[in-house]
Amino acid sequence: MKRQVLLILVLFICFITGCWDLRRIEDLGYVMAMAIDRSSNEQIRLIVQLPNPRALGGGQRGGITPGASIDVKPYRNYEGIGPTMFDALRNISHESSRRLFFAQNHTLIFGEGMARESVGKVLDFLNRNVEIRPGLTMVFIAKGDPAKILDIPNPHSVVPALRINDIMLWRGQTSRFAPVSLSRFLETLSLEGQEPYAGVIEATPNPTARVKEGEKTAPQPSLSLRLTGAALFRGDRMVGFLNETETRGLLWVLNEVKGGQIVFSCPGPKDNKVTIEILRSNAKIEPEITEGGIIMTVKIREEGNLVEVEGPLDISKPEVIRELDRLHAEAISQEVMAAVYKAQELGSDAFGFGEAFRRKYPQKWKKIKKDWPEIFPSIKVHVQVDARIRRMGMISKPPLLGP
Amino acid sequence: MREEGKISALQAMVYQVSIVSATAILFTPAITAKHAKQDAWLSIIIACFFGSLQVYTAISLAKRFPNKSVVQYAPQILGTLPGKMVGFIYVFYFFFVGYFIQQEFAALMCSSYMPYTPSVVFMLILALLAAYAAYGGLEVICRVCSIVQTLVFATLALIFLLIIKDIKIWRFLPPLENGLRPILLGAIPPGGWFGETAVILMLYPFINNKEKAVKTSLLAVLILFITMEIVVIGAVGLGGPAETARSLFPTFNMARCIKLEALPILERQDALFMMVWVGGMMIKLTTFFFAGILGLAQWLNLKDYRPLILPSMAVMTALAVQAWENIAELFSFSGEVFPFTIILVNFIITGFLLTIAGIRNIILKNT
Repeated sequence: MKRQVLLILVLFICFITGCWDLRRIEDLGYVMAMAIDRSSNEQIRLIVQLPNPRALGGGQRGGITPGASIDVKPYRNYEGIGPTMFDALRNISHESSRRLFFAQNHTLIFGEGMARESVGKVLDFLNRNVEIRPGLTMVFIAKGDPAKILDIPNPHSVVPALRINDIMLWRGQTSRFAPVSLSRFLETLSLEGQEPYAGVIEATPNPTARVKEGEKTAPQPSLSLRLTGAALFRGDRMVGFLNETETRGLLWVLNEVKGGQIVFSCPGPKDNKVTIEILRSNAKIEPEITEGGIIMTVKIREEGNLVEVEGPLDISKPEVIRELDRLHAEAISQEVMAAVYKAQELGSDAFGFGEAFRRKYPQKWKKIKKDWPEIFPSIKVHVQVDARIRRMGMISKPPLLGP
Repeated sequence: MREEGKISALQAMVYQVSIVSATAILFTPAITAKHAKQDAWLSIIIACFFGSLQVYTAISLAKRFPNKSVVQYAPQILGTLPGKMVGFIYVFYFFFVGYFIQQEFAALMCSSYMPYTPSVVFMLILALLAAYAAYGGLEVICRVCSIVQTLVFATLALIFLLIIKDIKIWRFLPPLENGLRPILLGAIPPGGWFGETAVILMLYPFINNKEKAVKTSLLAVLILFITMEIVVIGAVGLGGPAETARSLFPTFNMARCIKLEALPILERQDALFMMVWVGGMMIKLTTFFFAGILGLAQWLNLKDYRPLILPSMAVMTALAVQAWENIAELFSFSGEVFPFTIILVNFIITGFLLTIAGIRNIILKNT
């Protein structure tokens, strides 16, 4: 008898899972991407992208009427406007049949207009909310309307949010865009000697979309979603963009270059190019105080493989490789300097030169930290690159060169 | 007093570790980093020495009365009335920390995933589990502690392994930026927590290999030291001192922020962390509660502590419900008041008892 009562009591446990906070998976709307912008009346405009699992689940899209030209979109974007973040997102609940759930969100996009004003006000909510994972959420700035960017069609990776994720996984292919996690963004914001940066996302025209009017095949999308470059901040305000070359210059210093290509001219009179694929790199900032002011020495060690030689260059000779090493190092140092000039012009120390200084000279830093925004544009930066070409693919001399 | 069974010195060590670990894991990084910033790991080292001193004081006292607990021999040292008063302080200390634990438990559960569930539900469930465990007696509790602690440490090790690639040494630089003072300030709360291992004062009579107790008690402090260093280095190395100090539950955040692009299935270990942490909290409450009712029964000269379990649990839960109005109060209390309270009991009063006992001994020898 006692045992039976106990069994019944144990079975009751099944009914009380989650207590008051029971959430059924089919009731949740998994936010895949969120974009925050200012609305026209100075309120917060929040756009969230929810997937439509039925349309995503494979089979024939559009289902009921075969051959129908209009597909059911596998996602739906909602927009909510309100004075605060929480208000805006709760406003969406008037339209959404599912409760918004942010834990799986990987993409956070700020509108450019809002970023240029300030993103500080909404960061508190993003850090405070338990569902949002700062370590897993990537921060981007949208050039143009984020709603438009989150609605660019594509035949594969149909959901734009997932496409952004997939593109981001391949960032080591060029290292020329700079996604940053929300936690890193917040950390740099709280540091005195370093300013935040964020990735940039834009809609670019698709030049391959050339299907003629009246043709049977579905047209190519006229726009592509592109991750490009970086946006620099001063405090919580965005001050400008870096182009793609400058972005890699920034990433060299931040130790975030995971791979990519370096193109530079061959030695010799003709304008031929050599291309190196970056394998790995490592950078260190060494601050120094001299009579002429503060000097930052950036030391970069890089290793790469030679992937392409245009000119008739006998690269089977070690001394030629040594010469290429030197040119290749110069190309890297130019990228870094391009980024440094742009950042000094914008007055945003995204490299963390101030932090490097603080780590080496904590006492002196206390005296100058107030003036750092004024000092930073005038500091001298030296770049020392030790670049090595290790391997050269399947052949030694290029085919143009005779035996 | 009924025979409570015998435990080995090693089991007592597990008990000592369990009594500290769960809350220390969750709260140390934030409270330490608030003062010591990037030198939080140095604070833990200092706190470890302080903790060893406390547990050594406690065990020196316990050794003088090998077959009694502190509640029983305090009247012998100080005389009946003051002795009883000191005994009551010890008993109340265990209940006091007990209901503090209930509140802390409810704080994380309600803040993170279950905001709509009334906090009293969590406190009650935890209390009932602890009461059930206390019915089992000391030997049972020690065995449960061993199982749960193994899981806790295994999980912590897994989480640390998963984040180790993201820990950056430069987040700990420069050391000693603001001198020694902030480090010492940061060492006080963990120092207090280390001192909770002085629960050996209650356990000593039940240990069957008493000669090993000194070694195992210090080993308990060492284990806790490694645990705290892991969470502090993990939290500060991952998010920097400012972010660590800002977050209320830094270790929980650490588990939330695991990022592995190659193996996304190992990301988001917060559910796993939550699971073992709830287990850890349960045994933490059990250890305090058990020490409390055992002490209360000895204080009242009862034969058995079991009739006291439910009434004292009810009182403790009621105290927990009314004690702190909101989480800001709870956290400022746990950083600024709580460490001093437990240092007072574990170190100052214990040291005082030891001194008096020593003086009495000398006087007895001379006469």
